[in-house]
Amino acid sequence: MAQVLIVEPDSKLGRIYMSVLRSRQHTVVLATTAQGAIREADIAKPDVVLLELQLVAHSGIEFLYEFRSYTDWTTVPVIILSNVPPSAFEGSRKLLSERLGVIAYHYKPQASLQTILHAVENATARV
Amino acid sequence: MSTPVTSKAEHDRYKQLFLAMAEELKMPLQHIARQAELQQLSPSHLSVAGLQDIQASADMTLQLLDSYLLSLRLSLHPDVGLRLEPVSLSAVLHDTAAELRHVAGAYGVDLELHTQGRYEPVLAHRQALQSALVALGYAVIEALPAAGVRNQHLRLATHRTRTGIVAGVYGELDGLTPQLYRRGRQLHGHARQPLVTVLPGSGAGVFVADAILQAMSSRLRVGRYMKLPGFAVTLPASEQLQLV
Repeated sequence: MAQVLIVEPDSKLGRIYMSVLRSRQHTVVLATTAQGAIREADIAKPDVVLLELQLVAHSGIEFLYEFRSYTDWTTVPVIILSNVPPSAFEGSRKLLSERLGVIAYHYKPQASLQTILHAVENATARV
Repeated sequence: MSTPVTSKAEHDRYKQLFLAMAEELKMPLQHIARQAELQQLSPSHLSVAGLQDIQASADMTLQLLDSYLLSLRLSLHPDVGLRLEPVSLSAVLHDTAAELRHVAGAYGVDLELHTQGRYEPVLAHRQALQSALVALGYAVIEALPAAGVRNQHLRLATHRTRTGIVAGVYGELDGLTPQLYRRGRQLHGHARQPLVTVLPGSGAGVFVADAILQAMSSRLRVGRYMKLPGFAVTLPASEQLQLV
């Protein structure tokens, strides 16, 4: 079972994701801001991160640069689960996957809970 | 039936408002879709709270849609205008609080009403004013946990200034300043998060509220009340004789 860090600014939606992941015996922590996510990561030592890019104050990309700057977290798989449509990232896919360790991208409005569960379980199988 | 004549700039403004609204409505619709899916994934634990949550999200989506439609209608037909009449701000704020109570609870935000002062009625359109305040309230409720603030209180308040009587929606959003709002208005329709230091989304609720208030010859502004920043509107007091 995995330790999952969810970085989701909408706490209501974040709690729904928490419920479904906990129902599959994963341990889950939720952060609504980039700063909070770094704090939670320090405590929870996540095996996988689910990340929204549109955060208040610091973006998800800023979080990723900060997160990857710590040696403990250079290989933790990150799944982007965002309201930003995939077409907005056409030019940045290489940067996201090769430099920032993003292993999957899901467009949040179309990502069912089943899709999210599979994505987390695929990510933890790689670790 | 007359067809309104609109310039390209106005068309662009409607398109921007529509885009921002569509972006913003994704969130309550995701609450409904994902909460319904959660209930199906564990049918043996079908929860009343989960179903209530779906209902509350659907109700809030309809409320927001009505606010958005009103602002679009007013933008498309500025000549129609709104019929202003004496309105009690305290009563409007009480009704706004009632509309927001469930969604505030779902986000863990406490609602506070500050309507102690006995002020005369203001000149406004009651339904439009309430629509604007609900849209603003929802925007701030979503923003408080997203900004990671400790004191998650939404304060709906009315107070008097030299120029009129103020209705405001306040919360501990430290990044909210008049400069940020001015810049956000310029970025509206061009950036995904025009008010990025306080709001996670497109800020449609704020811009919609402003469009509605403009139709009442008022403007939304950023102000402070009892040390908390927030969005406020100053409305002129009604000259009508107050008997009670």
